[in-house]
Amino acid sequence: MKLKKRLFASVLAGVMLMTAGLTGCGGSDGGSGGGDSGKKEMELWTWKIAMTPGFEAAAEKFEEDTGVSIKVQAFSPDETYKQKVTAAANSGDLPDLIHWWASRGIGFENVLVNLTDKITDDYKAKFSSTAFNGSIVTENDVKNWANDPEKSDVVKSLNVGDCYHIPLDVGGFFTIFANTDILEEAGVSTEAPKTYEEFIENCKQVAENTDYGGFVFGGGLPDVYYNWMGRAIEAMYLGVDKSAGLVNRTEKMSDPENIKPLKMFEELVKSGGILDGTISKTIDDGDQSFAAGEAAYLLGGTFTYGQLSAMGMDVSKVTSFIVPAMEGSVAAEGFAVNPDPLTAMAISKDSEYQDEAYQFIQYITEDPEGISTFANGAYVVPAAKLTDETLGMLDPALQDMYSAMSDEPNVCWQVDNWEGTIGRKAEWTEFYNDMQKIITGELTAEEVAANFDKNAEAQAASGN
Amino acid sequence: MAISKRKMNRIKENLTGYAFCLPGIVLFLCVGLYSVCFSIFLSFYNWSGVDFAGTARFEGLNNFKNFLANGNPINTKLFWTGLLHNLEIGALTMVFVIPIAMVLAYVVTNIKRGAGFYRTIYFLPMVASGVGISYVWKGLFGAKGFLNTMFDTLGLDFLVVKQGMLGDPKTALIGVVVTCIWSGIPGTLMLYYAGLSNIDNTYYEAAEIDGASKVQMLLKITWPLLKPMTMITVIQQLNGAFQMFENIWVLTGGGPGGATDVVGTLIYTAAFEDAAYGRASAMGWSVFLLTAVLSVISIRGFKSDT
Amino acid sequence: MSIRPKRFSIATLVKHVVLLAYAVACFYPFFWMVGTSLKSQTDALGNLASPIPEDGIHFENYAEVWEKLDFAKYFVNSISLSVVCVLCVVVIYSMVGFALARINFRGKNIVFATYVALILVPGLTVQIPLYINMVNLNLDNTFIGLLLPIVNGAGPFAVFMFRNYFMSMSHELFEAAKLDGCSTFRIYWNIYLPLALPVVGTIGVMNFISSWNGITWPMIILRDDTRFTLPLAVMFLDQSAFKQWNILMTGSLFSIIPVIVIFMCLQKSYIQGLSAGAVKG
Repeated sequence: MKLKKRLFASVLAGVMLMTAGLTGCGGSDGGSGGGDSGKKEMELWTWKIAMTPGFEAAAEKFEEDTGVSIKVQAFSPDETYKQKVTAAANSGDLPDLIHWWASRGIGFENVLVNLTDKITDDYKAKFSSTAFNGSIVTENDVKNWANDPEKSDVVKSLNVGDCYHIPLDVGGFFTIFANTDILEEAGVSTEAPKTYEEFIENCKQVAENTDYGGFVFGGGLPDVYYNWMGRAIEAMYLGVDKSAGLVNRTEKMSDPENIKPLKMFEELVKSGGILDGTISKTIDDGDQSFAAGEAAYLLGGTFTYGQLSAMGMDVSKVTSFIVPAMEGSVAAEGFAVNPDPLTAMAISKDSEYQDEAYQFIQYITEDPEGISTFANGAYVVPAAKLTDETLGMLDPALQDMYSAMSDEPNVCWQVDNWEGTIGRKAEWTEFYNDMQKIITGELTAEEVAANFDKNAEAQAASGN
Repeated sequence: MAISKRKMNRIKENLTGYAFCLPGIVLFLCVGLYSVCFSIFLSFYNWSGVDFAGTARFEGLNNFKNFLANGNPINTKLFWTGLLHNLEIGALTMVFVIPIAMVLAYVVTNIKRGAGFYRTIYFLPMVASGVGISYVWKGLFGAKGFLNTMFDTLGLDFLVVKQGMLGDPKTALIGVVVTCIWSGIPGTLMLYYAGLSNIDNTYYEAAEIDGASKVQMLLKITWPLLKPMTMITVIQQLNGAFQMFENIWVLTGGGPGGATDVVGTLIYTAAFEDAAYGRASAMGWSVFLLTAVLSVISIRGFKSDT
Repeated sequence: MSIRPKRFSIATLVKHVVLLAYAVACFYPFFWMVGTSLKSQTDALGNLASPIPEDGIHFENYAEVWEKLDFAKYFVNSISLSVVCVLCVVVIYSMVGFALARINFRGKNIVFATYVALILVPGLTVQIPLYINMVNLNLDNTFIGLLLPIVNGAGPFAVFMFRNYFMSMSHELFEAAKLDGCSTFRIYWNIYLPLALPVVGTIGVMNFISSWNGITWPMIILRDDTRFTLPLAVMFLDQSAFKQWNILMTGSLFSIIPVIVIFMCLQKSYIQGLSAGAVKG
């Protein structure tokens, strides 16, 4: 009997301990940086660990100027950050400043400060012309979201012109890097190829004449080829109308003319010009294999030079050029790399310091000192339009990246912003997967095009 | 008193049972119940993740229809192929992990020297996990990786995979299974080790007197006595295979051409790329039902066997 | 098992060959980590797949990481989490397992079935509801808030293991102790739990490692980096624009070596306990 009592006593103790834990220790919540001491402290969350030095350096200077301190906290990897922000948004626990991907209709605008009134034409003029692409809701968005059964009510309730975050940094793709040593060894001209055909021929020559591969890219990610190169080739060849027609399901991919860019990709595969193993490389792996001198050409973007030199490559023997158009392209004239917005900053509605938070965003996007401190620390190209003076304050490599991009909207931009576009739907995800199957030899260009048309039709018929 | 002693005992035993379960159950009620129920509930809603009361939209069975019954043809196709891959991975992994782990455990318990050394080494895969390790695999499986180079030098050309094992849709799943076997063995080995140390030595001694061979002993004594451990392993591996995500995500991202897509990668994409938490939950709980059925079948199988 | 002298050498040799072959497979990734941790940054980035440093051996990585990483602080965070977690899991769920195996009470089957079903709960989809739950309990950013879901999550599997193990132990033991007048708790605590040492060890090690290595849940529930665990702190060692695998791997070694050391120490007492248990049984 005595022992029985002890059993109950210990269980009871256990339960009590737990309840004590649940209630008592809850008091030690370190959530808000409340202003008891009168000192203003804001919190900033990011998922980009590599960008924290930039935020921290800018925050330090910002504090000197304004007396408002900012605690920068990174959470990684991406999916964990997304969960954390979603969960925090749900429980009114968001930090003052939220770093997020620069995309429209993110799904939790209802807990963010609406910045729409601030986005005047004058304000926009302070940024690269394409910088707000990821931030301002367009007419097409509103229409498409209304028709999309899967969009949440938060997204469906957004209006044309709404803006909930300010773009911080930009980047551009559509750039091919060349290892001139390998090209010379293969007896191939080190000049930029004038056409896609010539590029394929060069890749083929390299593969045939040397032990190196021709072309490498992050082929393990299904959409890298298309998004960084293929769509530009397609839009230049078919022109904006037809290319947009493929997006909007008014054109068929299997149309003899429309299929040509895809067939040209098949040519590239068949020529043997793609480095073996490209299909399972991440973007970093692709850069790495180019830096290690395994291939003559690499598909990349503004960031690639920096990555290559960090990998120990002698970049003096590397040249770069914009992806070449196919012969007979109708819209190849003046194709340029646009600065596409990458990440943006939003403010929590629950923040006590909304004005100060906005002031900080202004500091890192408008003030020359703020821009350069942030951009150099984070090693990113700022989204702001830079004066020569501000540009001069940037790291030389960042200056080069900035200058490599042009504000003039290219054909890809025009396709994406086609009036009445429905945007790329699920058939495209399948298409990217199918393009990988061209590389592995499972499917031909014809089969991929037919699949694409079939999928687009089935999706449309089922209301997706 | 009308209450008989038997009844009294019965009540006492009930209370003792509850008392023993109490801490575990209280913890579950506080921490687990809400999230499980909420997540099931969520399967029937469209929700972007913020302010459920204000913004969630009841969808009935639409989320399930979306990927089970052609509500969205592409999602439906992806889901069923993904599920098939889950099944293949689970079955193949089990077929290798169980015998290998059992034999290794058997051998480790029966050696005189170095058991501690081996146990420490065998435990390393459990700690040395994470993203970094995927690069080890890539190094082994790559187009110019260790395996291809080895097959090439040995003259086994037919085994060389030009794009690398993970780059060919025919072999990518095999590559994934190999990594699953590698990471699945240590835990199973430990389970069997625990099981083996519970087997009375007199069984073996008796068998030895009867002139049984080592193999016979393994099949007739060890295997049946380890059945509870095998059942646990089967359920653990089954569950692991159907909840698999990170492993594949860092290794192949589901490619090439969707050849290694599993439900886990689809749930991830739905939740974190399409912000469709409702559909993601619906997928998660559909798979839950499936694994529950499979588990019940395997538990039944193990029971009727004995 | 008795050893027959004439078969000794060949059988043992075969055994060791098998064991060594598998040991190599287990050791290789660890070897790779050590190799990568000794590379220069460019070497690590450009020559990642190979375990051999090609650009000299860089021991200074260890000094750099040691300087940057507040090891003591994060180690204390990690070790307290893992130890408390293991203790909770073993005590709470061996009790449940014991009740399910040895006590006849109403609803027993429902409890067991629920626990088995909970093993299969899709982890990825309950994460956000779980966080909301913890915030409702006001446990956001606390040690308890970090701990409880980990313990609860380990529960189903531990219950399953303990129950099966207790079931496989002879029932006569229970009856005999009962006749001697032992209380049920005494029987559990003094007889069954010590005899279940192999499972306690297995469950203990598994949960120690998973709570030590866990990244996602701590990252979600904690918002204050002074409370971070060691693996989380390691992730933040590399703030450069281009991945510093050498630094990350050095940090990873710092975070897993304690686990290996603890495992090796515990193993000794574990084995001793095993033979002690065998004598008793």
